[in-house]
Amino acid sequence: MGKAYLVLMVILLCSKLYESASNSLWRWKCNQSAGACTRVSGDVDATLYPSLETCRLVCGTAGGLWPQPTVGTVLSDGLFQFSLSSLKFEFASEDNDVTTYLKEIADLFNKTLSSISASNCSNTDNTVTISIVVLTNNMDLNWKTDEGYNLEILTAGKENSVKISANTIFGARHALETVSQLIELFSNNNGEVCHVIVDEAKISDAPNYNHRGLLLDTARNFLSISSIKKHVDGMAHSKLNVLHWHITDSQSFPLELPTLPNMTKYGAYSDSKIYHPTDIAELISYAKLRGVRIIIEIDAPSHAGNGWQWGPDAGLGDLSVCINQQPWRSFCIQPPCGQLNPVNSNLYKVLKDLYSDVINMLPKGEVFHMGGDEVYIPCWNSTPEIIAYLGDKPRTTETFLDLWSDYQAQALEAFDSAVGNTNTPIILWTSHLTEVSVIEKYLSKTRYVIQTWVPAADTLPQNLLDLGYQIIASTKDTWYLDHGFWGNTVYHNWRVVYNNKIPTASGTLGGEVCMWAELVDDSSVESRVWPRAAAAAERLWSNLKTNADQAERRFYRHRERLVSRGINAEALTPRWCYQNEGEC
Amino acid sequence: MKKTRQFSDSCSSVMFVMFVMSCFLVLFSYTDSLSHVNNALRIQNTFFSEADNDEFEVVRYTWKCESNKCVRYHTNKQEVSLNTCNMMCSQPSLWPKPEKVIVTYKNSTVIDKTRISFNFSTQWQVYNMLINTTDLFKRNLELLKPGNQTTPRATLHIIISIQDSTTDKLKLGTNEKYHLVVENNDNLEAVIVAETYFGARHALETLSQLIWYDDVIDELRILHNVDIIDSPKFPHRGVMIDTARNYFPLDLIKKVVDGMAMSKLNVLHLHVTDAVSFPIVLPRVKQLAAFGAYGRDMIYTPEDIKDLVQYSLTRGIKVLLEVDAPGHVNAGWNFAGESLNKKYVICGESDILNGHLNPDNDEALLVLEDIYNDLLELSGYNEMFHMGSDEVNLTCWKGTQAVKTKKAENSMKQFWASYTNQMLERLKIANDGRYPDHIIMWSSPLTESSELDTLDVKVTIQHWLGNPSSILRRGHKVIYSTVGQWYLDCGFGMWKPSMTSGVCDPYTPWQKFYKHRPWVINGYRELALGGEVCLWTEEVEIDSLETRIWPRSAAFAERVWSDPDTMNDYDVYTRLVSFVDRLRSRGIKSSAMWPRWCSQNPGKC
Repeated sequence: MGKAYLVLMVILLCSKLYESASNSLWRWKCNQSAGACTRVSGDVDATLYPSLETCRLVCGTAGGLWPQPTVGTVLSDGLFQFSLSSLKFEFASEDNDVTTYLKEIADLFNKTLSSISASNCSNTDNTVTISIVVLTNNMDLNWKTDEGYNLEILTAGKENSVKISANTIFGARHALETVSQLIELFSNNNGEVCHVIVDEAKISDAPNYNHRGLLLDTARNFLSISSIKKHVDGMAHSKLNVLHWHITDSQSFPLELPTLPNMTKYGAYSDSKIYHPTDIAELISYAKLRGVRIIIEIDAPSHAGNGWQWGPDAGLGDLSVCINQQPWRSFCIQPPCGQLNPVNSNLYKVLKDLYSDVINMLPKGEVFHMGGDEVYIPCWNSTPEIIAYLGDKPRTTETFLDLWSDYQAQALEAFDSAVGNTNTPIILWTSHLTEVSVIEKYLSKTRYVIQTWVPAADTLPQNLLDLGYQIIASTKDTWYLDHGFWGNTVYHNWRVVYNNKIPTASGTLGGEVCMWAELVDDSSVESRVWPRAAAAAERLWSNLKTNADQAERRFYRHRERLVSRGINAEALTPRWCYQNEGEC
Repeated sequence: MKKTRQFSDSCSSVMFVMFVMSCFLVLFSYTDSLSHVNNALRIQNTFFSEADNDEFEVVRYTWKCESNKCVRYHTNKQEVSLNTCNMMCSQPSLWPKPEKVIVTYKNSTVIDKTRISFNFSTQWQVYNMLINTTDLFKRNLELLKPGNQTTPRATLHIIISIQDSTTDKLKLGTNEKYHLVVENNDNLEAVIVAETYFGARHALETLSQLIWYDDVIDELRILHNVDIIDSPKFPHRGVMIDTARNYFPLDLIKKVVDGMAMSKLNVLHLHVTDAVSFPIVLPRVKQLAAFGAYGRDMIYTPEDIKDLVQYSLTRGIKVLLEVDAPGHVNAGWNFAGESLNKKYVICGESDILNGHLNPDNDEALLVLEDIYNDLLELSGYNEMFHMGSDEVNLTCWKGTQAVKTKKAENSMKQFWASYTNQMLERLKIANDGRYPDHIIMWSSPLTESSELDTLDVKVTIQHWLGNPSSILRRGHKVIYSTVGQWYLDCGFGMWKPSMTSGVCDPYTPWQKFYKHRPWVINGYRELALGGEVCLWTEEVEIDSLETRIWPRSAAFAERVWSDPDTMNDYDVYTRLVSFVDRLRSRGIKSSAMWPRWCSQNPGKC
């Protein structure tokens, strides 16, 4: 082969091909000024690409990259052909942990590329060398982690080199993710399928928000570990970095706690629907390798019923009240009912054990989500033990909010004593306690991060920022992935998800899309989440001023990429529209 | 075998002795120090299946039947599984609900999946299908309880008698009635009597639903002393899948057929082509797929179609192939010449979705005749034929020579009708000179107008949009596919930038599918052949095909099979959720109906 990279030689097709109906007639042409790949039939032309995927790789300013790099992107339109076996890695780091991590993500990178589709490329002299330099030994993934990276690809003769530099291993991981999106399969004119990589590129990239999350609810319906791993894969491919695990709710308590085995005994749906500490540990390391941290939420004091029934038998009194009470409409927002009993002092001892167990499963210093949403006052207000406790106090809303905030204070105390410090950040959902007029009375802005779940038009997120709180935005009318299947809610199409903008003030840590699981389980959760979570991923990573229509071609490509990597992402459009960019 | 920490704390020595003595024949208790030797039904327990993991306690529930409802209890001695309770407590979990179920004395027996004996005699016409169906019956039991049958159990004798075993094609009037009796006198025996093979296969489906997996004893049970007489309320009970907007592999479509067979649905309508793609390889006009398929691996060959037709027929389902025309054409048709009067399709240049057959090129109709010929041959069936005919955009045709010569500009609908008559003529020629008995068209401005009377055939209308009253008044037969009630695709928003919302949002939950009774709303019950649920696939691909279809198509299936007057929430939810579990046991993906807690606590959500 003369010149090492090819600007696409396309074979002449047999003119009778159509009669067999078994070969593709189509080729793609890149119109660089419009950034569009156009399908053409039959012609023989050296500027044509054999597949949309190879055309998309280099067409337009950001090719097929998702999310779009932020600082700068330059891509050449040349492709360098290579066989996967000729790809090598070089690591400059001395540090052992860092190098171990880099080796593991390199393996993962190879696995991802080789699983896309079978290639039958014979060995050529062409080589690709990926060298990675990581400047710090920091192994922690948190809100302060620098996830940025620089990436340069150069080709000299038969040697293609990819140079990655990043401050942390997580930046390096993101860079590799980007490299994987600069590689495609290519059918050459020898009837071989080889890999091609963009021959020259320069990318400088860093995220806009440090908290880019997906919430999974495993309490309404259980999700298998393998299903959760698929989500982590999808997150990695889209550079999301927080899996918010709403692991328990009033319906079930599937998290096994070594000191409190009764929680799953009374709260799991069955013995096969339990997460064991070993599962959690394995998931945490699985996720870390994919640049994702796991934040556990044990929702309380509301959304806590099944799993908490054992108090009386253990001589601890009612730990939770209104459990499974009927008619449910009188005692909770959604069946089955259950709300922790704030006046039972044994509850806080149990909570301390619970927190201890959870903390033991997590990396040191990891933040914790205490839930705190949707306390339903009529439940407490109909519980004799609580009414007696309140004594002469008027049973007004304020009294119950005070009771709730007392609960929150004691729960925090239990957490602090379990963790052994008083500065672990705690996340809470917005609630009556987080109203602008009362939040400062109830919740310390140095301890609590508030996750807002109000509609886009609501000013609460901005108001909380103005008061000095840090927030995570889960815009209810765009980023709730369960909407559209119950009540009057509407489905938020990927364009709506993409177009949602969240506050940019520095107190905004980021945002999360939320997959509440009343109407999904393993069978449909993947297609409900993907590719819409990836639309939010670009909002959180790149936060472009443009909207979904401008991102369409890259997003369609990313959806196909997710599918080819084993994530069952929902279809976005008739395939014709994918094959004919911009024509629908 | 390791024991859990809590387990050893709470087990008494009595229990330990019992455990050693009887090994598997013991049930344990966690908090009480009691043990329970089993009776004959509760022999083996799966208590220790997870006991190698010494980190956690297992969860046990038992269900009690109270006022005809199953109530969940935490238990120390698990007695009754949820499946068993649901089957024995109220109405047996059968879906769709049979016409008449008489349970003389509710009782059940553990059966042996390896001991199923069939006894039937039949004519050769349906022999192979019946053999296949009995194999399927056994395979489904295997799926319900995988693994070896450790303890030999009672043999189930199944006796099938088919009165007319020469009927091997499913037609609109084919008798699907059956009579099923399960008794356990001297022998455990199921007796099936049906007019045709198709009734007999429905009976076997019902029989398989009288058998369930009991996880307390890790065995299959069958309900007996049951007498079921059953037949459908409507003869046409279908699912339509659009394979043009996005392509679905044959094996996946077969899985849909499996679920349809379980639901006693009997028509698989494939909207096989549309403007955006032409995936079916037709022997007479291969170019259509060559130019119109999305890719070389996204086609249906003639062999695929024949295979699907036979696969479906064995499952009591006929395949209806629709190549939509004269609108909804474009992809694939560009193999003709470039000059205007040589083009088969016009108006599709600027908008792929707006292609129409070119009335100025008579050869387009000849191609259509080839298509019709191939479709009739491939489906091996000509009682019913679907012509499509929806959403013709008359402004496309307005400038054509044909319209000008016919001076039809004043009534474009007249022109539409006359073009439709030309299409009908081609169909007649393709079908050996006679019209198929039922020619179906989608409802449209044409079918709602008086021009409908000018068609050469009294067509059957698949009604999706608009008011059907004029169609009914004119006495046309109707297949209902009401948008907003029986559309499976709605609710996922816009799929192209120019749209501001989805075409038919919002999403339709299964309860709506269940409750919709268009023949009650519109009257003319006698003209209703039945209905079809429709899955247009602009926003559906492989992974979500099944979850879009199930469980909503099952809800619809009970509507068209049983057409119940009322909906008892407890009964319908409980039976449907059992059916969903059964679908899943056979490898079919179904959406979740609710949090699992609600399944475990019937009537409490």
